[in-house]
Amino acid sequence: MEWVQNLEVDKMIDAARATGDVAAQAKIYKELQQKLIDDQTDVFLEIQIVRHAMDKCLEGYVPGPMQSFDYAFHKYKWTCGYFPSRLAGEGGPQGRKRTS
Amino acid sequence: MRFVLTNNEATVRSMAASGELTMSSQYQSPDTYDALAKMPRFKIVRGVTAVAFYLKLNTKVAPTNDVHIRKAPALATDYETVNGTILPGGDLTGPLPKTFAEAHLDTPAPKFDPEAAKAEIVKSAYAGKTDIHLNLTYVSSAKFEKGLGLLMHSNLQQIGFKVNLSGELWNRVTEIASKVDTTPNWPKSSSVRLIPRRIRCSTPSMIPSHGNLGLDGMGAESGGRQDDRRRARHR
Repeated sequence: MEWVQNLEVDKMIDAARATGDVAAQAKIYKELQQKLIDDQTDVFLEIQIVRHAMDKCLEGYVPGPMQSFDYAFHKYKWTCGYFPSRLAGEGGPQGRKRTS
Repeated sequence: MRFVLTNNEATVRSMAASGELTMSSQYQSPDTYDALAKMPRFKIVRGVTAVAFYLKLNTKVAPTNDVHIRKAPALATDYETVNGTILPGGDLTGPLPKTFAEAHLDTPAPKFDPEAAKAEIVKSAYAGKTDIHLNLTYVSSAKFEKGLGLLMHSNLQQIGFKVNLSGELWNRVTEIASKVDTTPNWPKSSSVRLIPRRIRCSTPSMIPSHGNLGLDGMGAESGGRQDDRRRARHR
């Protein structure tokens, strides 16, 4: 959406792709970032902090910064004795009992 | 396990209160997280991501084809309000998040400075003009985009721009942003998920693992290769 068409930028991207040297790539990427900051192609707002509201009885969620879907449900565990209300067909959240 | 798909924040709060909800999505409004945090049953878990939020600027149409006009909105952005209230997040100092430790350029964080923003307009080709128009578009279904749009509308008007703010459906935004001339000066705020190609991450936990030694081994071998044909074969 920025429609950046800049030969200098293109050359930097090509140069980074052409090398297998990670340190050399990182150096080029830093120069590229400075170029985009100088050109103010965007307003750089923020990094997303992912948030979830989770029942205190549910444990095992581990954020995965590089994953858009970072839910390893098979690693989750329920640490209380009863599920809340309708899931367990019981009378309400207050009816739960913790085991730990 | 039961997934419930809804874009209604009131439904999420209601299900949380009744005991039906055990885990929210990551896309609730700040108000909903605050409401659930006050319920004794819930905790709020947080995690830093590699997702960067930008305000994209059309660099090809007037007046944002002038770098000084593009610097003005950057200086007229109240980062504290955006990051703290409208869409709580972490500091972003340039295109790449700090998550990419080796390649991240360590630069000072941008600052909210309306006077410096006015000074940039004076340096531009539009200096002295009283009718510098900016078209700002946001995705109408996203509450935080509207909040951001209203904040930027107010701040940009105060430094002298004539601002046209409009909310559009996402498919309309993608349509008008498909051509240079129809892309607004500020087409939308946007999240950019940056995926490392061959940059090492700052912590091992950032490297997704399938929990399968065969797959992980192939991924590691593929990631270490320059030969795209070999990489493709591993995929």
